[in-house]
Amino acid sequence: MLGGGLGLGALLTLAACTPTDTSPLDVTGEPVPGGVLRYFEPLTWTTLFPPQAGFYPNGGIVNNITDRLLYQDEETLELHPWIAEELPEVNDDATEFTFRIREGVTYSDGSPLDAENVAQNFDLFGLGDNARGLPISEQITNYAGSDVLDDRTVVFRFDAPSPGFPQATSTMNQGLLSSATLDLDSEGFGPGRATGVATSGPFYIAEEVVGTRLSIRVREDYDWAPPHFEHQGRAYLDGLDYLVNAEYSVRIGALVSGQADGVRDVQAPDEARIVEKGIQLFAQPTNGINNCMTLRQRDPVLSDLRVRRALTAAIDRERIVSKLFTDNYPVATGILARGAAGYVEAPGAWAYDPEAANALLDEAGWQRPADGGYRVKDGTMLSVRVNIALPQPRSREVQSLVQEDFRRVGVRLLINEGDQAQQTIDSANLDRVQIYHSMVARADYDVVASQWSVDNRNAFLNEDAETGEWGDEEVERILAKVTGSARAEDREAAVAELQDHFVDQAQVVPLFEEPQVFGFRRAVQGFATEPVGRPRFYSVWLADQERSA
Amino acid sequence: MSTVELAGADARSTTAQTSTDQSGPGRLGRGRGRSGRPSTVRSFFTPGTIIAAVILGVTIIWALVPGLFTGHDPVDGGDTAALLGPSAEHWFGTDQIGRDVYSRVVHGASRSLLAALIAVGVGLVVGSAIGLIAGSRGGWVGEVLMRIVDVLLSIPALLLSLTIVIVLGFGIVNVAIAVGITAIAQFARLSRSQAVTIMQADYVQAAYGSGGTYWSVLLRHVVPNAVSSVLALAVLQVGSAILQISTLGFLGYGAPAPTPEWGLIIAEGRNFVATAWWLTVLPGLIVMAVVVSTHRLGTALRKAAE
Amino acid sequence: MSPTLRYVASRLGQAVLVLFLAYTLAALLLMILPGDGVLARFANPALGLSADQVEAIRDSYGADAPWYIQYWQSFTGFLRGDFGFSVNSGAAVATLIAAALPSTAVLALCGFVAAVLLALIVTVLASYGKPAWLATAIDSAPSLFVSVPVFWLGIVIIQVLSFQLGWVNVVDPGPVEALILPTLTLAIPLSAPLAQVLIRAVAEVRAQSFVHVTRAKGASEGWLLVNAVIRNATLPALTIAGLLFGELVAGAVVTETVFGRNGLGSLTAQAVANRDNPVLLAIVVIATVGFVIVNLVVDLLYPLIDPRLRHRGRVGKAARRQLKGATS
Repeated sequence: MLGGGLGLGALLTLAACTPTDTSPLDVTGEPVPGGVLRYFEPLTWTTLFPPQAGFYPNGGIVNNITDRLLYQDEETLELHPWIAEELPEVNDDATEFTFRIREGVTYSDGSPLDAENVAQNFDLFGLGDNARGLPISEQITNYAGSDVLDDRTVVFRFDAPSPGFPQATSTMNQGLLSSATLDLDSEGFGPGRATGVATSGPFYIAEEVVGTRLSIRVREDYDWAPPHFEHQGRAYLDGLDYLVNAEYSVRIGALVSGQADGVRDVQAPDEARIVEKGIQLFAQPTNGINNCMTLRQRDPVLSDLRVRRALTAAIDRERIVSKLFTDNYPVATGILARGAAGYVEAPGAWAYDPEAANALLDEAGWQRPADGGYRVKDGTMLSVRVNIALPQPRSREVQSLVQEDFRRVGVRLLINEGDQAQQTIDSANLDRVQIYHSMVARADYDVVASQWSVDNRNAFLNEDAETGEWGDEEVERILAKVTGSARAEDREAAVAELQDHFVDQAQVVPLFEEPQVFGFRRAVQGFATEPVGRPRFYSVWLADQERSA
Repeated sequence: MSTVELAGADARSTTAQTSTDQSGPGRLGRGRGRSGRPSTVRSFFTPGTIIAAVILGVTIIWALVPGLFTGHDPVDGGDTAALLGPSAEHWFGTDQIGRDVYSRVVHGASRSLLAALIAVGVGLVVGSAIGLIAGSRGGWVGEVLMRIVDVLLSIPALLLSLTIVIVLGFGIVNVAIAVGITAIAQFARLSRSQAVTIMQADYVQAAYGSGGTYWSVLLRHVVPNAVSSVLALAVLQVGSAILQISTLGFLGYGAPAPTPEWGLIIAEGRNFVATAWWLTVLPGLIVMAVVVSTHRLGTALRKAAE
Repeated sequence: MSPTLRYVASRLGQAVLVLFLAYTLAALLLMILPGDGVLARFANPALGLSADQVEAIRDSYGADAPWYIQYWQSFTGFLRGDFGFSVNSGAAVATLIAAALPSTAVLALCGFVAAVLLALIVTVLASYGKPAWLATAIDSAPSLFVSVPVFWLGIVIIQVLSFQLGWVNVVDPGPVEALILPTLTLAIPLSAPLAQVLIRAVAEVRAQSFVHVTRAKGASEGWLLVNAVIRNATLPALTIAGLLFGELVAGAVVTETVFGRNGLGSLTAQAVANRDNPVLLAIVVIATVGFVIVNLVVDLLYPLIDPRLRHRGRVGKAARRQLKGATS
């Protein structure tokens, strides 16, 4: 049997000898249309309703089948016209936005995209419909309604200043749907019904196998790419197959062996090896909130500022990044990523200082027993629990290292076990999860509200639902300034104020800037992502179609 | 001859209905193709069982005093690089966050064995109790108990344990209990058939005749006589429990980090099977060795018990 | 009523009772699951819904009805063949299962046939392999086969056979190609118990004296052996085949997950992950029905296969006990 094991090991080490992709390849020429890309996702998508496209697998599809009113450049974060002919007219207090709609755009079900239809889209995205299980888009707040002035002109009204709205219209969460599709309920957008979703994007949904595969195919008549694009007309690819396999080793093996063309979610330890194998790596910044831990101060233990400061100082972020990640995951220098709107550097804010941590905990009355175990105060052990952010890279391992860091200063960190459903449920319960590990991406100032406001993801669980008591109402006040100020400068200043508040109150520890890492065969050209790292396949082409056929 | 024995085994199982006796590795017990049986003792001490006993012995010592076998910290890798290959310093290499894998396997023995023992313990205690009572009482009590056993047996084990894990919540003890519940039926069937046979024996009738109560007969005669074959099944079940717990770990319902547990080590390491095969292959071989050993030993014990 | 009929009827009745109890157990367990599917689906932070919105959606699903009402609705539904709707996707559970069942049935069938073939090969090699050490080594193969974690086996098989040796595609394979590796993964652990029964049967038959006698009468050893082994191994092999059904289900869950195949197994894994109780309940019930039917058939087959069981008092029910009496 031992012999068998050694033989097996020898066979597996053959991995080092898998043929590396070194065939000559002409990638300098003009893009050639044709070919179907085989693209691996780790998770199945859950809904194609655009406001819920934040979930990676959903967004990867929605981003490629829908068009938006505006287009946001992934590097400059500037807005450009797309389905809207020009940038919207905005009134002075940013409560009314007038869009002029491009002519000649049709949905994949043949229906026209006109002002009336756009108004219906935003009425649904901005107001939601609980009866149909369709929630409000988290990027749109204070939406009041729409007026259709003529076939090509629509006005959106808001109850309060909503300066983030034009950017919101550029995100995949506001992907436009045909009028018939807007009548679907939440099941209609769910797995098994994908082919019933009609959109105006460069690809349409052609076939679905629930749980394992979704095929999108090119729309030959697509002729409404953002006007500033060099590439106009149909997408180069004939189509794309989203394949789902939960086994990471299978996805990577398929890519390296040439059986697949691309994968999302290349894990950091594998980066060097797959580059060696002739795979192209794309690490796309997500330009949002950094991968971070939110300390919920409504918890009695964490309500003590000294404890929060101690925990912050106890975390060795450099070690986490150097040990688990690569250069594509820079250590966070602010609560937002460097490329995000509103980024401000906070030098030295989350420095590693275990001695200071020990001193603070001593001062707070948490005594370390003589044997060096976990600290105790009034007979209770200093113990907090953190969730595992399963969609985020190596969350469990990150928390395993934080666990080690905490143990060194006498704090017990429990890692909340369970699958995604369990994490979701426990994270909403302060008794279960006191430190919330997560990240969220959106290239607008409002992203901070998406993460921390009680009206959105509510990372702090800031308000007690029964007593109405606040953990820290100041946070909500600053967030209101971010979302409700009409002028960009005021919003930027509010984000900076929020960051100072977080540093001062030791409420949030950003760990690193989280990229989306994609791997593609060498022959796959023209890959790009939208501002928060969701893939865009419109301009992708294959330099060796005969091989992929 | 084989028909006799297999039929005998089946007859022992119950009077009845779902035509099954021990599933899981239990059924492997009968499979060793040795012709003839010179003597119980000689057939027990074959090279195979001796090696198996040594392997299990080493594993148990790992579980009791892991510090003797490795100097590395199993839960804190310090500044060691991740995914190092096997070397003199790190026999099994290092894992995805730089912890010594060999050390994790050694330290994981206590948790894995404990979990397996809890699982087998649940099956053994509950199952034997049901089986002994059903077998010695008979009548409607026995019928009802054995119908419950039929139900437990008819739901595929993995589905049953998954359901139970979700109901009980996550964590190694809950996983162990869930696996244990799936083993109840096998213990119940075996101990019931033992009890039925023993109750018919002359000495039991004699014990009743001389004024023994039901409980005294049960405890004084039935339990001691059934114990050897039930224990043999228990040893066999240890291996099966280790495998089932690791399968639940693979599906994402295993032991919490960071305390090492074999199923978790293999399940976490499998992501890097293409880059760092040792991470999952070497612990996998250890688990296989232990499971094979429990099979060998359990089989030998069962033969000795017969 | 003839004894045979009465026996069949009573076995049927018991099977139905077991099914009902299994259904009730599963339904009750699944109704007290913490965190229902609606919550799991909509409270996902990536969807960005507030607690109030989730609560409103939850109400609209009626997820808070008392358990006995849910039980009754579900039970009467099952009797009508209506398995309800998936909480996760909203699709009818019957549709989901109908879509998933064929692929799993094919896989299970292939896995079972391959397991039988593998068991036969192992048996022949272990019994007649030359040199002797090879036979001994093969002889221990079954206990090795059954000691491998199936998920681990699947991952290693993919890495070696597909990605490194390139023998079989796992991405976009043809319908037959798609079955090869999953079948192998499924068959290896399944073959172990069958092989052990067969190896033992061969060994015992070869040791029996009547073989020598008959051979002296002029029959060939091969024919005799096959005949005797079939006679001796059919009953235990049948029993084990019935038991293997549960293993097939577990194997399908793991294999389909590893290979990204669609089927009941991957449906199970998803249903558990999404706390999609209606789907999970239906799968548990279907798997249980399958198990009960397979074993009912096996039980009813005993007397047909072994004539010795036919005319000895009550048939079948105590068949195996009498088998013991008949042969010892």
